[in-house]
Amino acid sequence: MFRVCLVQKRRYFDSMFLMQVSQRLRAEPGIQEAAVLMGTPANVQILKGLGFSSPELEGAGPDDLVVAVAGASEDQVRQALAKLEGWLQAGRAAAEGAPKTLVQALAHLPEANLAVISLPGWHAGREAKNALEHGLNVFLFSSNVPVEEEVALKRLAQAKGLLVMGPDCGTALVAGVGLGFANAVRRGPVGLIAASGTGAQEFTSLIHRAGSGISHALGTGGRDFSDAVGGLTALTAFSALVEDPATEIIVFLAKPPGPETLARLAAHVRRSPKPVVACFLGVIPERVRREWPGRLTTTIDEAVVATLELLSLPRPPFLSGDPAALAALAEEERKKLLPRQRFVRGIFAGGTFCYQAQLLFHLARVPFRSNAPLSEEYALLNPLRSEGHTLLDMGEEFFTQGRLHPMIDPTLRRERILAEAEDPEVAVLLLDFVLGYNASPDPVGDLLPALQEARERARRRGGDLLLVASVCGTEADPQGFARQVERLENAKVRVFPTQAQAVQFVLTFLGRRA
Amino acid sequence: MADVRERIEEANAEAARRMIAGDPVLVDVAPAREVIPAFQDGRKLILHSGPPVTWERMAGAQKGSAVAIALFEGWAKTPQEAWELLASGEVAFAPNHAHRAVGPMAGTISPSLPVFVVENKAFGNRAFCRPVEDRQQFGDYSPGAVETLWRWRDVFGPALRAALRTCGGLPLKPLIARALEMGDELHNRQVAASSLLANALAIPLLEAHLPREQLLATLRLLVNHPVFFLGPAMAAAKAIADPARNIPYATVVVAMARNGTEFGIQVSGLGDEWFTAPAPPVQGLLFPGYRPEDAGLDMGDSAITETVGWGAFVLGGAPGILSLVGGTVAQALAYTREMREITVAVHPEFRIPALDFQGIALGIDIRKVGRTGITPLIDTAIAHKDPGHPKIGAGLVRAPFECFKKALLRFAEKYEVAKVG
Amino acid sequence: MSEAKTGVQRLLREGPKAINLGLKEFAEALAAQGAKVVHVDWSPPPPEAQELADLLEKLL
Repeated sequence: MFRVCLVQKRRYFDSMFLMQVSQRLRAEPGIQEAAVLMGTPANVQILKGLGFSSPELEGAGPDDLVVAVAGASEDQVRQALAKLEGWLQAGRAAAEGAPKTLVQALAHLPEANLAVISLPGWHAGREAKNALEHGLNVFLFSSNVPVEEEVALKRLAQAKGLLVMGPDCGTALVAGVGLGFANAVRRGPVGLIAASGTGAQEFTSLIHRAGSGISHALGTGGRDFSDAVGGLTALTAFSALVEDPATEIIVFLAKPPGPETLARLAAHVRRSPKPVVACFLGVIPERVRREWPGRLTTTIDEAVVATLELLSLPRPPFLSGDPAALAALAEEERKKLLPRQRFVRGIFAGGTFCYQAQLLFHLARVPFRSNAPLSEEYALLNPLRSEGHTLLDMGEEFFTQGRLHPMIDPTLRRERILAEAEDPEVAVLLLDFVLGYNASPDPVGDLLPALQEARERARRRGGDLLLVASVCGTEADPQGFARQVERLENAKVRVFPTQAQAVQFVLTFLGRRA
Repeated sequence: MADVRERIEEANAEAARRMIAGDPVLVDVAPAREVIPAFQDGRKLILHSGPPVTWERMAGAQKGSAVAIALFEGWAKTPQEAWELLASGEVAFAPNHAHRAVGPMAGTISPSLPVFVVENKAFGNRAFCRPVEDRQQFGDYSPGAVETLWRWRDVFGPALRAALRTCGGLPLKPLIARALEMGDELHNRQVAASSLLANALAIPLLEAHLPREQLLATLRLLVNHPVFFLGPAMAAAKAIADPARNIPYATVVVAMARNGTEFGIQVSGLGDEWFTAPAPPVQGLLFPGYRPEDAGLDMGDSAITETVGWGAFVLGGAPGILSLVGGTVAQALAYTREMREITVAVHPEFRIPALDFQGIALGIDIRKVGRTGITPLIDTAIAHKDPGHPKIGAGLVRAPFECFKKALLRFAEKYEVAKVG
Repeated sequence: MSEAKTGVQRLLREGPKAINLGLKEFAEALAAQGAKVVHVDWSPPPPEAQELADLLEKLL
């Protein structure tokens, strides 16, 4: 085997482009392993783990391009590398004459009102500040922006009458246009302020499927409702939605806020001329229940129901679960399994879906483990080894270091499905499929072969595997909601209209419905 | 007390105001000893381009140029003699910029060499630049190269002086504005400006009652020399930049100059101090027969044109130059847009048709260079690394970031801006 | 309808007109939805500029 590890100083490409280039390299004759990535400490560790080493690699920094290729012969590796440069340059050639900085881009689009930033975290804050200084609102997808920087950005935005969505903001819908991971949702009277990306996707998709629509869904980033940030973005967004003529109802979607932030939000909500629904995902402390002046819900489904009620819209059938029918279905599935098949393994792409599943397990008093635990008592020791009921957030940092998010790159979820299938005690695989802009073009197709293989393995042992899923999206999404659901159902996957219902079914199956 | 940022903004606005108000007029072509006081005590002194440098550290081309000067001035009879004289320390060296002068490439100026004298009528200051040719200033000391300097001393210089006296001086601002609109960038490309200058001086030359041979020789030079205007352009740029010097708190660059060994900048709020870094290699095209390893490092005071917003800063308006330095029209436009990110003002009168008649950007701000990492781009020619060669190519070069970093750190020190905290 | 008073209100009223820095796919998705977007061919500033960040914070 012949290995090469090269470092090119200060050469930047985005991670999605580099993933495509790496895949093309791996398909070259004789190439066994290939990775083209930015030299972040995590990526350098990954390459070392794969057996690559060179003095250059030691000196690589996060702004340097690292190329690692292993192949059967030196000739084949050299030939692959020769092609690589062409691909990299083609990526840039398309951009010739393209603006190289935000300021240059402003010359092309003087009427711009928003900067969408998904740069590495250590550059994202500076560019966000630059954008604010040029009068642009900011959608900051990047994570790894320090909280002090977040606060400074949000204060600056406040002083300038601008909005900073993020950092770590996955989703927004502005006047019907999706930013980041977003679904094709019709416009309507509901304004959303959400700290969580997949939570916002589920809420907006369900509102759409219930026949209503979204005026704007504004993201805040995961930390905004904590007292460290104090809801700076949430408050700006709230004022904007109060002023916004298209918005009739305002919905907050976040984990329970810090006490000071809660008090501040509550003061605004009390004066609000528009009705307000809060979905505080999590175990809601008594003080929150006492202080919160509006409608208060704990799951996304409840928030959708409360919103529809305020709009005087009928509750659609898909939001009216029938416990008896669920129990019958669970009983039917139970019969296919062996007695030792007891455990549930949730393998989620959406962080909020993992979180909501944990919350419902917790409320049903079913103990579980998670790599992104609801509270310390549920912590999973080794993210690579499930124990008992395990609910995994595959978008958590441990899994995404040096990789793309599982909503785009299904590799790790696929591997995990097959790994869980090796465990004879596993009864249920619980999955989410997220559709929409910027998600994989075929989320179901990405995992279906692995799911069928997993079930096959269980059957070879004389049992079966209960596959439970929810699909987040709308018919207008590029992937098409109905087509994705249909393919799952054809493969005998139990698909539920909402993620909360999928979790409730699993709890019913466990005989522990909350 | 006002915030340091506000003081800087005010100071930079003032620096830009002064540069924009600059009104250069070509008033004379005079022997250097008549107009540069440093030459008046009769000692052997050679002014050169870039920041200060000693004979030992001097680049090959600049040494070759100095040899030619010693022969031109009659300080030595052979190149060997000249070399020994220069190495002996008997001839003093000083940077042009310290004497309100500039010179292309090696930039050498000596007492007998004619210089263009440009007066900035808005502020009353004068600046000087030596004539441009393509041999001696690149380090060539052959008899032909020295002969050109003698021709300047004896024929062209006096003729141009007579012509300028006849017409009472030539305002350059309108000429420069037209040349920029005609596709010149006034550094490597002076085709339009040189023609406009020839037009403007033709009748005054005729009216100066010169001997026929001198008149014809001078006209022949003027009408056949596509970069003739670089000398007046550099003197004009220097005359425009100098009033912006020494404004407290201003972070605007007032000189960028290279001697083939070091690249140096001077900053308005930081007095006459040079902030230097090793001279970078030039990216460009070499004349046939020369290889990249022959090329000397970046050299010349001509970056004074970029300092006032011309040269590579207006590449987007001068696509004709790309045949000389390489690249595409899209790149040229992108460079010009890029330079807007490190400058503080836009000139209302110098405008570029290719950029929808936007004004040229000027006033390089060391803070913006520091923040963006974008360093000024400079059009330039390429000299040989060894003495004794003519021009070997042309290309583009970036000012080293290190100069700007050093200047920023000195600024923080001088104006007591705590570095962290 | 009242005039947009702040940058946030302008954004909500006009819909996004975006400058995209980072993942090119985000720009493509915006364009596919009919939004105006300009993608920046971004590269990181030199490490030296990153060293000066603290000082420049005070000067610029």
